[in-house]
Amino acid sequence: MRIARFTLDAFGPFTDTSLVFDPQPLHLIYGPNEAGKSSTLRALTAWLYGFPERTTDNFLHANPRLCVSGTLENGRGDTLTFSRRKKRKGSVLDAGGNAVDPQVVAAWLQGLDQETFQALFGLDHPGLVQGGTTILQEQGSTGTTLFAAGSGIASLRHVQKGLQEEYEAVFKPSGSKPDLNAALHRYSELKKESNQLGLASTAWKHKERALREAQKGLDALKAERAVQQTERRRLERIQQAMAPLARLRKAEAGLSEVGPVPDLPDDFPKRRQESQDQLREAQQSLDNAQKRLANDQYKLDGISLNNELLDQAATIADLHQRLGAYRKGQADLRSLEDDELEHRAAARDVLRAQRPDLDPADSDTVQQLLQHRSRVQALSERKPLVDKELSDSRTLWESKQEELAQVRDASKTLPHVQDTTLLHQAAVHAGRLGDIDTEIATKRSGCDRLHQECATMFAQLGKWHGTPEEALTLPLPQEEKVQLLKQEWEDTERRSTELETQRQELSETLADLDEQLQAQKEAGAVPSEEDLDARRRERDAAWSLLCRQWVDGEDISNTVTEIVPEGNLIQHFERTLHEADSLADRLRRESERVHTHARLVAQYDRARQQWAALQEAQERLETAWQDLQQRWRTTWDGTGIEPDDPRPMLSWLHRFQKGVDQARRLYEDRFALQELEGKREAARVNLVRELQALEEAVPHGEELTPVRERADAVLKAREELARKQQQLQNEQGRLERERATAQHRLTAAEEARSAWQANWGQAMQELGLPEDAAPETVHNFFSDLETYLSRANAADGLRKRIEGIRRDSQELERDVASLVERTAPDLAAIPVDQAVERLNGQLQRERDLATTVAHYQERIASTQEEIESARIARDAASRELAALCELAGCTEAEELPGIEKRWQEHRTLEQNKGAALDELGEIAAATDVEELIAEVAAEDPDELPARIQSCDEELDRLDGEIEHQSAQAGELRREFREMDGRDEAARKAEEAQATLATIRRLAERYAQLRLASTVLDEAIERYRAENQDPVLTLASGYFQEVTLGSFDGLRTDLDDKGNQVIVGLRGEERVPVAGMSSGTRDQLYLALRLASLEHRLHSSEPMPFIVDDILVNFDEQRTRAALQALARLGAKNQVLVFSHHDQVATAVRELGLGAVHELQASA
Amino acid sequence: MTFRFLHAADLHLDSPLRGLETYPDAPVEQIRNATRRALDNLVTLAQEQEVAFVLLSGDIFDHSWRDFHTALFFAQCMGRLREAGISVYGVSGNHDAANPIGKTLRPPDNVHFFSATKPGSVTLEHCNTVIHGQSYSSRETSEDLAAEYPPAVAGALNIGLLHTSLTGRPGHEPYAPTHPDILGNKGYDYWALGHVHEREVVTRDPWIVFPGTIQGRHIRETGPKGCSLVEVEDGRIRDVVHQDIDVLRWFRGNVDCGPCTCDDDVRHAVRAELQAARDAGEGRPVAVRLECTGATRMHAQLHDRQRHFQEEWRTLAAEMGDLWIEQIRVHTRPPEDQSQEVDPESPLGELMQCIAAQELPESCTKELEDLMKQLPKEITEGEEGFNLKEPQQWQRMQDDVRELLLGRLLRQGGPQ
Repeated sequence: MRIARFTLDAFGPFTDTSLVFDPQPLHLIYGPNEAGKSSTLRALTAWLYGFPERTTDNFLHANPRLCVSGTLENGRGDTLTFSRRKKRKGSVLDAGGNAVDPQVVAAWLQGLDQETFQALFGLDHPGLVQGGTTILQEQGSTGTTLFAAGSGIASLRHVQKGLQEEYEAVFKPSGSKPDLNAALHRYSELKKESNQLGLASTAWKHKERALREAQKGLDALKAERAVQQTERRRLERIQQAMAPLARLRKAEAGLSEVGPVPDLPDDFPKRRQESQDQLREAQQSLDNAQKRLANDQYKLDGISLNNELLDQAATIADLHQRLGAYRKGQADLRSLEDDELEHRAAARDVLRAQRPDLDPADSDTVQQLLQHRSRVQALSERKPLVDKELSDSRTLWESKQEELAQVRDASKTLPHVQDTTLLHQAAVHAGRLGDIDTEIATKRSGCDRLHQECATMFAQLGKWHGTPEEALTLPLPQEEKVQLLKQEWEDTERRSTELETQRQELSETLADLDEQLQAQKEAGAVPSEEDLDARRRERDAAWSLLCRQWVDGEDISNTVTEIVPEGNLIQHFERTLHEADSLADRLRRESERVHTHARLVAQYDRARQQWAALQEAQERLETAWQDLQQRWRTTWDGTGIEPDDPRPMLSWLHRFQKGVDQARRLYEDRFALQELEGKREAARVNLVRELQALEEAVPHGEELTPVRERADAVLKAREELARKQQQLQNEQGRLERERATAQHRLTAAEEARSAWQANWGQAMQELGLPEDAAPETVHNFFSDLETYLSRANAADGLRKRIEGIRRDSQELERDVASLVERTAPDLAAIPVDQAVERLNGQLQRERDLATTVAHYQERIASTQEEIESARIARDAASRELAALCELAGCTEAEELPGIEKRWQEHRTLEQNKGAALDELGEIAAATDVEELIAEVAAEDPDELPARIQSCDEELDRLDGEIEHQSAQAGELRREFREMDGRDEAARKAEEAQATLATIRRLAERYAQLRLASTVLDEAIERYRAENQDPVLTLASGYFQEVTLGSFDGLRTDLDDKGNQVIVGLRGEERVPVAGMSSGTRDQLYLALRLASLEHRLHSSEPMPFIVDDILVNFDEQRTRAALQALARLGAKNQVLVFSHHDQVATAVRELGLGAVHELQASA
Repeated sequence: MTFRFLHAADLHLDSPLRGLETYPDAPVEQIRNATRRALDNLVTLAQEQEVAFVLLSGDIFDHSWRDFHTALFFAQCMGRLREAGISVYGVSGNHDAANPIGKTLRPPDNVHFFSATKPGSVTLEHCNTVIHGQSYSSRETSEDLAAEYPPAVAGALNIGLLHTSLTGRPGHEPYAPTHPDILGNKGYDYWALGHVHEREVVTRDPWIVFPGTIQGRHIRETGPKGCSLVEVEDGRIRDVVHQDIDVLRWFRGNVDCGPCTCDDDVRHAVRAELQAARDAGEGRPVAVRLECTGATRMHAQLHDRQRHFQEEWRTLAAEMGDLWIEQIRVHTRPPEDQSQEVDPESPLGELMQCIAAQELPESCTKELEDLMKQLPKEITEGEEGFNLKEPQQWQRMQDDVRELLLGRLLRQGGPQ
């Protein structure tokens, strides 16, 4: 798959920006910084895999408008055109805007997800550096390095290490700290604790039985103790009963001694004592009261009262109270009269100053004048406003008048405006051509560049010298024909090689056979059937001769001499006989050797025959070869080209064809250029004509822009003039309207001023002031009138007070005279105030006397009541004593104490007897007292203490045992009580379950990590085993290329630990990765990536390889080498290089490696 | 005459809840002693409903739990019923037969357990009812106990107490097998069964009822749990109503991540499932298993950021109430348009092949055996025990390993 076209319809800073990727080895997407290279990369990702949820590429085009589109093309020539929008659903659209199933795109991307695609087919500078670093960290380990390069995953080592660290942190078979080990430990601890806290059924059963038995023992002891306790209590009771029994006996004796007594009530002694006391106290109180009564009555009779004076007490008090006001009034009168006079004089003076015509006593007139005050004040406040309005409106009218005059003057000085319609039309027409000058210049330089590139390309190609135009008409041979000839050429070469190989093989075979035969020969002659036959024939001949001699007696000497030179036939026969036998023996004995020799000879003969046939075939081939060469050259006739072999020439022809394509484009571009130039000239002439018509200067030269700019400037100046004129007219109209408004305002202000003046004059007349009086004067006038009024009012107030004082004094004097006349005529001669004081003194004295009289009267009444109650008390006491005597059975009260004493003695003895019986009853408790008395009687009092002591000792012993037994039972009960169904063990078991859940999770996690680590290692090893040779072979070539031949290639080697590692070859020297510079390691990683991608093509469809600025750290030479290596891959698999470095762009152009696309962001 | 009785079974007292790993926000205290508190609820319910008696159809205790405190707790609960004047009739089940604590226990005198040697009957005069039953003598009781039960007493309400799996129920041992027809032919009015932890009314004439366990103890026991309240009117069963007395619910939530494209979408889907879990809990704490499914764009993220999502969802659960995330399982798939067709000859292709191997890699077997040796048998045994030879678990492990490696290798998913 390759990307045929890619358009940033609306993305980042781009709008409708297209990149067309025709089939070239390399495409450089080049743009200086900020030109949007990164945006383009992101756009490419968005196109293939959709927009991310959040994007920063929406600053120019809003999210809904973001769009990227393009065309993919596969090896069969099928294409897929689609666009991508930022949407959740239906983001993929076809050319017609219809939704496309995203799976269609996914299928073209071979189902690879974004991350895999980026890892496999993307490489940026950090990725390259990381790759180089990883190679170093892995010490060039073959497996890891190949896997990393093949998958594009540079962080492989980091991942492997991470997995290992992680699973070791989870679990170690013999560790204790890792999480899982710790959890396992915790689990077993919890189980143990749960077991310890748990209660076994048997333990409970045992405990229950022990408790039952302990309780039983305790009960028995307690019973025994109870018996002992009872006995002790019985003895103690007897001992306690001894004393009360003695008291009982004593009381009974006393009672018989006292004898019978009257039965008196319990309160008899108290009643008797109280009655006698009461009688005595009543008599004493009666005597005292009668004495007090006589004394008080005497004192009361000696006091007499003035009742008339006392009857006037209210009047005298009223007069005495009024006396204070009277005295103050007399004192104030003088100064009040002085103040009144002063206020009256001041009021008169003030009024006389303002209005001498008015009567100072007539304050009503002044009051009326003051009523005008608010109206006059309002008028005086309006005056400055009226004055200001008049002055302002006058100033405004004058300024408008002046401005209008100025505008009229300016309007007169403006020049005349000419009609520019024609010039405007010409400029618009020229404007439609756009920046035609730049376009022409670009096109022209493009043509020049294209021409240069073509020329360079043809020059670099060699073999042919001519202009690009000539190349278009060059009668080059048909590619198909060249293909056929190439095929034939290669067949012939292959045949020749085969023959040569055969010849070499045959030659070797012959030499070998020859050698073997020679070796046999050297090991001794090989007997043969032929030799044996010869020997036998010799033997038979000799035998025949001997037979002829011996049997036939024939003289055979002559014949013998022929056969046997020495003449001894018998010896000859024996020798031949022996030789034949010996040969026959050898033939049998050395039969294998004989056989081998025969085979070798036969093989040798066959080989010789093949040799001859081979010679013939080679000669035939030579003839065919010459014929082919002749035909090959003929094919190129008419081109003036001396062809090399068809193979390079086919490549040459391809490249030449590209040159021709470029030349054709050059031809088309030039034609387009001429058209443009024609259009520009027509527009320019038109503009020049119109400018001249307006008598404007015209710039020289063929370019349209200066003329158009001149025309624009002229149009702008004329428009400015017209605009100014219009502006002045508008201004004049506006000023005239404003002047009229100002005129109206001035008139109104003048009218307001005269109305005010009339009102003011009238007001002054009413106040009796001159008509032109100033507001300040009027203000003072009102102020003085107010002063007058306030002084007059003050004098009136004082007058009223003086008169009031005088009236009150006269009234008091009248009242006093009347009283004195009635109650104390002797005081008539003295002044009023003194008379009142004297009267008041007398009244006070009379009041004191009246109080004393009342006091005595009260005391007399109280004493009389006291005498009465004393008499009643005395009588009651006498009656009570009489009643008591009747109870005691006597007649006189004096006998009562004696009877009472005997009665009391009898009573005490009875009480003692009762107490003794009660005590005994208490001791006897539930039993009968009589029974107790009998029991006491039965016991010996002296033995009792010893017997009680013995009981106590027995009780102590039992208490000790009970306490011990109780403690034991208590402990058992406590333990049993603790077996209460508590949940501690269950809680621990719950905790253990929670830990078990943790263990489960960690165990799965460990297995997961461990498996991941293992399969990763396994995959790395398997990939290495299967791909090491082909990938390293390819990588060697790339490595040599990108290191500019400073390395001869790559191979595998074993390091100190016996691990397979990749090393660089430099002649015979093997350079480990640690011995390479970091730059070289980066190049090694690049070589491996390129090799992996190339190797991948055996099994997979090509995919575009996208390289982002990986050459930043390469020097110029290496940059060029790397670009060439990329282009080499690019011939088979599309390569897109993103860069913002000029040197990269320059290199690609100069080396003719492919197309350079310059990015131009529209924002 | 009308009266009510309660029927419960499979108390498994003090058998702990399984699979709940503690984490900081988990409602640990709220789920303590769940089985005990469920039994407490049963007693309270019996008191409130003023039932005539309570039936317990076996498995009071768990066979593996030997703490006698558990038996004492059971006796205390029975004591509470005694104070309320409620008698209890029960049979022991397979778990009780295998556990000595039940045999040692002497419950209060209101509790009657039927003999294990032969079927017995108890007549309750005051409510004209005869209860028949037989306990297990040993754990593996394979004979049909019901076949030997006496025929129904005419004119009385007849109840059969039996611990059985009937004709067999998945996940339960086939003890005391019998057939509903055999039970039906006895002429009883109500068969109070136990042993099966799911509640089930097998037939209504006669009533054959499994009340289920009183408290779910692991994720296979989801939904409400409790006992059956049976109303009797004039010697006939009028109605059987299930009463929930559990204190914690188990809930399986399926989070369909299919439509999710971002974290917020996933959080929304999870919140909906947690809400469903909370609703299912009806005011109780709920242990939730979240299973993420569907072909989703969040597939890779869900795998790579498992720890992150786990924390987030636990916090969410804590915010929403007493929810305990028991486990999170991610079974999502990548969306259809992102399913990888990796070239088998490429490095990643090799890796995928290694992962997809049918068996554990040999080089890894020893380490995993070391691990398995140290794991408690509670982890490695049983239906859901950890065992990579089990095909489903192995398949899941392969999926997890694949996502783990792809995450680390391609998506730079760092160590969690």
